[in-house]
Amino acid sequence: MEPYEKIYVDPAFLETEHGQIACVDCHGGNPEDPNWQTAHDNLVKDPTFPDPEKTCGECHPDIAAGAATSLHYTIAPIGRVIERRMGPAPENVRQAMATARERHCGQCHASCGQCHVSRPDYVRGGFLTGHQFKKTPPMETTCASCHGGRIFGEFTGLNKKIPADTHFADEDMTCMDCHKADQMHAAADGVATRRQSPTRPRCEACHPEAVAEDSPRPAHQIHRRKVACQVCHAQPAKQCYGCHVGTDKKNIPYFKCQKTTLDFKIGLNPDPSPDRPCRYSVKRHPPIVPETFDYYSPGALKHFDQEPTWKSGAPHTIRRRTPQNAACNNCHGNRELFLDVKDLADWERKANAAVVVSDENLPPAIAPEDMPKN
Amino acid sequence: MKIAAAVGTLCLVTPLIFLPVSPASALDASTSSCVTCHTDVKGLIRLGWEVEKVRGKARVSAENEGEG
Repeated sequence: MEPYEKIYVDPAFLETEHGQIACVDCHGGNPEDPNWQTAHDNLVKDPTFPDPEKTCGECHPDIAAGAATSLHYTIAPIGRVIERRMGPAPENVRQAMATARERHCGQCHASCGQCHVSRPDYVRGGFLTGHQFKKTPPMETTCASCHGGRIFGEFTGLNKKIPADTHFADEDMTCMDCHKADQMHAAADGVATRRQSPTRPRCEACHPEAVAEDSPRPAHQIHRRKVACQVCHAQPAKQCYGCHVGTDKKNIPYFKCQKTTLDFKIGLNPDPSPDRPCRYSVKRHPPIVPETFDYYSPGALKHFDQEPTWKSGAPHTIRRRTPQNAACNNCHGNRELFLDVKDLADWERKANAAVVVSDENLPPAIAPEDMPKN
Repeated sequence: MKIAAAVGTLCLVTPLIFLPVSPASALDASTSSCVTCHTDVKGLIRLGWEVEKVRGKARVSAENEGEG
């Protein structure tokens, strides 16, 4: 995006409802000063962050109140995971880690404005359409800006030899068809992970028959509440390994990600609950290693093993037919599909003890006479 | 004579009060340099060069490696 495009205001915006509000009311600055440098003194680039209630909240109080603590605003679960991996730590370590989180993890938050008016700060902003407010943000320039590394490429079929998610390829769906406004704007105080969010998308919202006790498909009857939908219906997805972060000689933050692969691994659900009862789920490897933050505080993640490095994931590579669901024994007894201790580096074995599928937990191969008809 | 003049003035002014004001002209009335500058593509291109001289280019570390 050219620099001028980022800040060009389309005159059509001035005809819209939001265009009736004087610029200075939200952004401050000195609107009568013709000198751009002094005119921008005290300018608020994103008046919706960190507190959207004084701007958006004037007309949208319910939405703004929840949004301020939403997962996109705070990305709090990432901080909580890091806290658990740190455990009790002296103040100097906590301070160093707070700096690291602010410089790196904290760059990925998004505000009302960074979805509905401009691209997120993480990709250095830029108006979506001449400052016009988009009730439904365009996924290519908003969602993909932050989720482009893994999710967006999976969803739209950018990964080599992995077809796009059927919801995108065959049904023309966008991110927002599943991740609706009530999820995006939901307050998330105390939500430990995004997977605990009560407003998260659920497959059964659109496919109730798939999880019904009397589902017309035997495979659905047999596996319901035992196997996550993605176990049968997802394809390989991107896994990241060995991320290190730091600050270069010019004081600019950097990251180094050692490798990425396209893999499909099924693991155990370490924490079954009535809400998430399945025994098996698809796993995703996030890029963290014990040394990720060593630049800021060597050895800060002293309790690294408190969290697995193969975490329950939701690959956006869904297809009705997949290699593993084409026949019972493509999955049953297929050691390759299930997370094995051999798949792990030495340093992550303890962290993943509860998610590795041991030989005794491997679903056994099914004899032909025992296979369901259909 | 004075009464006639007052009535005449009222007749002229009253319709003006109730004339609709278009949003664009309402904004122009606020004489916002923001609108003047940010709707002028050529000006913004020139300004972009000027800003770059003052603030430098957006900074991305040359040390980034791998997929982010």
